[in-house]
Amino acid sequence: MAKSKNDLLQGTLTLLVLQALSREPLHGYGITLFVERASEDLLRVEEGSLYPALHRMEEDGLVKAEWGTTEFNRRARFYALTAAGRKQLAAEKESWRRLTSGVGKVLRFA
Amino acid sequence: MIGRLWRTLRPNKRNREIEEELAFHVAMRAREYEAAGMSPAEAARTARRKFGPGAAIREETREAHILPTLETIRREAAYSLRALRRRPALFVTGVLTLALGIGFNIAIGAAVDVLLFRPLPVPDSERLLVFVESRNGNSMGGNPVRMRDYATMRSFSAIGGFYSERLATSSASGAKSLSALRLAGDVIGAFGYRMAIGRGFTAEELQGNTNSVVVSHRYWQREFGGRGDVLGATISTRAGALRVAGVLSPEASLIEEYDLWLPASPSTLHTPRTAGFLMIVARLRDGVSPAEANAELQTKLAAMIAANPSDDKGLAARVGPLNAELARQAREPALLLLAVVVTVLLTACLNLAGLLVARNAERAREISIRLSIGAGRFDLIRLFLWEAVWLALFGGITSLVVAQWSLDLLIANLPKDLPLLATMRLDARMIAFALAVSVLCAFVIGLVPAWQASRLKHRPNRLRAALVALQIGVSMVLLSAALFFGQSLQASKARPIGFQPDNVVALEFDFPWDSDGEELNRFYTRVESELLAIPGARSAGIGDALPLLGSTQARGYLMIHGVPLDDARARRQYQYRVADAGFFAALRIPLLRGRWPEPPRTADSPRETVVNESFVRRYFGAVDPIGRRVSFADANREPRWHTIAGVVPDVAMSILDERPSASVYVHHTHAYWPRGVAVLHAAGDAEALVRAARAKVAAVDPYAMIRFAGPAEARVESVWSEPSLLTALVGGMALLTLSLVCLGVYGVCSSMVRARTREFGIRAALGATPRSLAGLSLRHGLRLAAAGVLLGGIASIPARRLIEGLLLGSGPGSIPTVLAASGCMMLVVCFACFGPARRAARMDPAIVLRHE
Repeated sequence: MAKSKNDLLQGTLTLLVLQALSREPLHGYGITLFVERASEDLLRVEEGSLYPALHRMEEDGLVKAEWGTTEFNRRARFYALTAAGRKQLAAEKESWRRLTSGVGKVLRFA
Repeated sequence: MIGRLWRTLRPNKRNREIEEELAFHVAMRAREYEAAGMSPAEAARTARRKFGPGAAIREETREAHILPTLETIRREAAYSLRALRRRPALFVTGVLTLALGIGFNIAIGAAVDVLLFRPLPVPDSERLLVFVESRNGNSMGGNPVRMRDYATMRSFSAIGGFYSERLATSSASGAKSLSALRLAGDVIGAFGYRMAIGRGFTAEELQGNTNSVVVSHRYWQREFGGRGDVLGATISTRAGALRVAGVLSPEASLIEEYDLWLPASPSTLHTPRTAGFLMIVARLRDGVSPAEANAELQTKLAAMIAANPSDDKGLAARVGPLNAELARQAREPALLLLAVVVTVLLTACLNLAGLLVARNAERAREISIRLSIGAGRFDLIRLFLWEAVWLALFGGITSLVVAQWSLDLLIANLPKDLPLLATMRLDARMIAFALAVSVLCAFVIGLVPAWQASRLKHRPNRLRAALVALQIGVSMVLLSAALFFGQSLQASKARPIGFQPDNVVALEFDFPWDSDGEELNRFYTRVESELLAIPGARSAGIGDALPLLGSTQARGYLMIHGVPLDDARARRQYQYRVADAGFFAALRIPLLRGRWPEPPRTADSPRETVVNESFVRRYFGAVDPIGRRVSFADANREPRWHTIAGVVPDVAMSILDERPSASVYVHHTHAYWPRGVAVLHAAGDAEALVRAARAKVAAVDPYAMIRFAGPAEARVESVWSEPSLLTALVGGMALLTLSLVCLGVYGVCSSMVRARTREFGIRAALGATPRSLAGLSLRHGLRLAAAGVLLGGIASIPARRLIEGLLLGSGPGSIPTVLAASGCMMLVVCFACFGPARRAARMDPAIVLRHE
């Protein structure tokens, strides 16, 4: 099976997920809510990409998952950052800054 | 990685969790829509729709946790197993042939493991050395007097020599025979054995003047019920009462089991330096290497030869690890058998490879579909290799049963003097070996067909024919080897032996080496006259051993009165044997010249001997030997002259095709030999005669140790049992490969006929006779055979050189045998082609039309 449809998108998704989890552990639905709210509805997380990404990040040791209970008393899988995840978040933030500033400079130059 | 592997193989729990996690997400979305004003049902529907294709997402999420290739492999394995199950004939043939092939390999592998690789069950076995001595190039046993010289060497922490014999114990119920190990020096210390209870021997006891005895653990359990009060208990023997000083730990019985361990008698310990009858072992002192020990030994030898020039001249010795020395002796037959079973396995693998090529040829459609939808070459090879892997795996598992059987059969048929071999078993190592062999087989039988099938333009029949030709070649080598063995065995049996063992009863005695010579002579003389008293007796006599059973006695230097013999080698190249006139008469060995010697009344009576033709030829040439005097005493002793009374023809001393050796026969009164044989030539029922003879011996001495009592013919026949076993094994394996060749040739020929059905039909329609049609398919098979036979025939000739040492003499040369094997192989191929050829001959043009 194909690994990913769009590497750039997936890279961004990882960054968003890591950022969402940097404040507190969240379940998948909570992550989508966070991204939507924080981006003032400019960004929407595709569920079809979110869960495979979460599980891959779990396999890669960036996040760890645990079953917990929500405020509505339902069982949900909560994801939390690991130390490796925190390091990865810092690295991805830095590369994102470099990318945007680089792209911005190119756009200004034109 | 391990976790991932586990999750790949056990996916269920994870799947349920993913299911639940995604369901939670959809439920939360639905709650959101409901809050925005949708009806619960509509909210749920919208949430599901917005979520996207659930199954695909589940699948993709799941895949985050598995190794992608592993999953594919799992699927391919399951697929090929299902595919194999649809071809039960192929599956069963494959598994069975592999099971036989691998099973024999494991069984022989277990034997080779014990013989060559597994360390002896002795503490620090690599530091246990054995002496290998020879004089003038002839190997010889150890001597207790020489051993005392070796014992002064610094390299060894313990040294000892031993020989085994049987001891008669007396009890109320009569005489009982026990196996005993007689010791010279610290044998127990050299082996490193410990005592279970009690003590070993003191240095003083080892001088021989003692009645202390050490018993084996099993003897203690058997005779004393394992009781602690065994120490000090007595065991009464013919020679006197023995007192138990200790019990050996069970490990001391692992190499060979002896009931009693006791020092050799003082007279045995002080034999002349030239006698050799001990196996001498020594334990290397800590920090000394075997090479250093050998260097010190060479210095010691030089000193010994200087001190005893007449006795030790030409003496050579070295020490080597006992492990390696035993392995050296076993190497040739063990490796031969290993080569044989590897050949069988190779034929089986080639056969299966051929079957798989045929099978893949039927899948041309499937292969082209797979290629067209993007399967790579490697994917196809992997997929097809799986079938071989399954066959090998099931074959490997089944082979353990075959291996266990063959081991049981082998152990039951082994000569009894190889007790270590009886410890062969299927242990974890052998099972691992089976697994490794199976994997190897999978590659051998799978790789070529898979690689070939993965090519679109393939010619399966050609490859298959090549495989069958190769198979014929390999089994040709085995067939030739079997014929080499069979012919040499037959030639050995056909060689004239020079005596007639029929209607002769033989009784072999086994008295201890420290038996009194006078007593022995009285015993032999009385047995001889008692045997003659049996009704129907024609003649009876005493000898040292039946001819053909090998040479027996140590010999001194030959001297001929009035003839100087300078060459030291010539003075030892003769056989010194015991036989009286009755012995020759019973075995019907005629007198050629002179007269039979007068039976001596006492040991001081004039000594008369009989010599054989070779002896006359070698030492007298044309001179008449009758009345000449010869002596066989040790060089440093006074010559004891024997007068030659008569000349007898040569008899065969061994089953090997050796030139008869010069032999001299002396009367038992003038020689000391506690392991003699009595022969009785009589008419009547053999069994009744054996019973009567036993009764007579028991009347002379109720404690007489009889090692064998039965027809001399059977005893003589038994010397061929080992070569016969070897021949039967190789022959059986050759037959097995021949049947595999039959299968292979049959398969190739019948698929050739099937492939050319149309052509044959047209030929039939155009007037080809059934005979010519059959000839066409037969020719196909014979072409294969010719290629294979040529290949195998060429390989057989060097193969013969490898087994030369195991053959009983030269026999006919290689070429006629290989030609015979070729003819045999051609016949087998014709037989295998017969069915397909008949089908071709009966080709009906009408069927061919329908075939289209």
